[in-house]
Amino acid sequence: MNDNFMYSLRQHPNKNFSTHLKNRLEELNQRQAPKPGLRRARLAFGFSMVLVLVVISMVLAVPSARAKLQDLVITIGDQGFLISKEHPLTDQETTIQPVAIPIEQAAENGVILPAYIPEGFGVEQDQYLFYHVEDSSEGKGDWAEVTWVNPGNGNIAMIVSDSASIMVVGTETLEEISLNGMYAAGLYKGGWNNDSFAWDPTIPFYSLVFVKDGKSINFTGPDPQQLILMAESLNP
Amino acid sequence: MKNTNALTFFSPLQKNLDWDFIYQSTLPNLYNYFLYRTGNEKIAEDLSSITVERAWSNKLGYRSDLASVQSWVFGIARNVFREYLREHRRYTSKLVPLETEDSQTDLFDRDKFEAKILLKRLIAMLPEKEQELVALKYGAGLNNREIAKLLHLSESNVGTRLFRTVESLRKKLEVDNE
Repeated sequence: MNDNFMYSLRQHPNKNFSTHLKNRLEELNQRQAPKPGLRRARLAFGFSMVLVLVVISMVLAVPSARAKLQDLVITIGDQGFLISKEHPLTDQETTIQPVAIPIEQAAENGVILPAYIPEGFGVEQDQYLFYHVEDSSEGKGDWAEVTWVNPGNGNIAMIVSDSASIMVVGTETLEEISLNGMYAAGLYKGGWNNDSFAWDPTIPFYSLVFVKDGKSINFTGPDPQQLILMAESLNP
Repeated sequence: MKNTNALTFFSPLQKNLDWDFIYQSTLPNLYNYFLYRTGNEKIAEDLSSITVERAWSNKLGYRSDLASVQSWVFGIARNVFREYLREHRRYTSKLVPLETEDSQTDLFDRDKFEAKILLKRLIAMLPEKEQELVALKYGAGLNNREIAKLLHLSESNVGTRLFRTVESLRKKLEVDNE
């Protein structure tokens, strides 16, 4: 295929522009010197993740427990996945009533939204749901849920949680993918059936789960490619 | 002007990246990606600046085990362009480039200049996905494999779509020249 003519629009960037931008980057480099506080925060986050993993590792270290649960922890990026055949809900679970908040206030409340929204989808009722956990002794944090609807084409949901926690999944078909070359994410199909308390691989939904800037983010929807594009369009 | 992609020399496992070299080799491709997408030099400069500054601010977060530098940078560039589109969508439904004589126009070759303008217009009229493919291939200088990875398409799908697009553009240009 002779496609030389397609290159005819290429140009060299203006020299003044390149020099100006280079100077800006040098300023940025100087400002990027690591600050002790930030380093401590990173260490604290890393330490909390390690703690969670250590607890799970201890459980797995007991042969009887391991044999009974047949569980396996897989870490993708900063997100842990517990492969289990046991339904994650327990008798102690409580129902949390969410608060509906206008979607315009998402950014100021720290809920980042994807720049890419698949064609035909819109935020459900122009609001998102915020769930506040009163008792955070179990290490669970608050979370926000945004749902995009497209009648006849399914919904896409994004759940953003303040703290990363282990995701319990009943499938071993967990796939690791890369988002913008910055984050590793876990992608899987199916979900827990809350009636039969068993994992149902035929549920026609995919989940894309990853940790970004200390927040656990979970996209769910019928088309994995759409989920990836949405996740990649969250500002780096 | 054919593009040579200097970034492909980087090994994905290379730990000590030369960010100055990355800047020098990325900027022309980045600028041309936005030029193919918008057809406007000034906007291409603005969007390139935003992308480079964003990449630099986040360079500590780059993971060479997950993606090559160019995939990472163009992932950010595509986000920047989406944000730009979202911001401007309410004002214009389609970006059609302005037909100004840019600074690098060969004023002695009117035919070439007019062919360029026509090509810009034809690219701007392509469907969104095809515009993106053309910008990544001929502006950013990525190969089909890199584009496929970036767009989560198969390599053969990228090749087929590009082939069809380029052929249709060539036919339209030839019809106009007759």
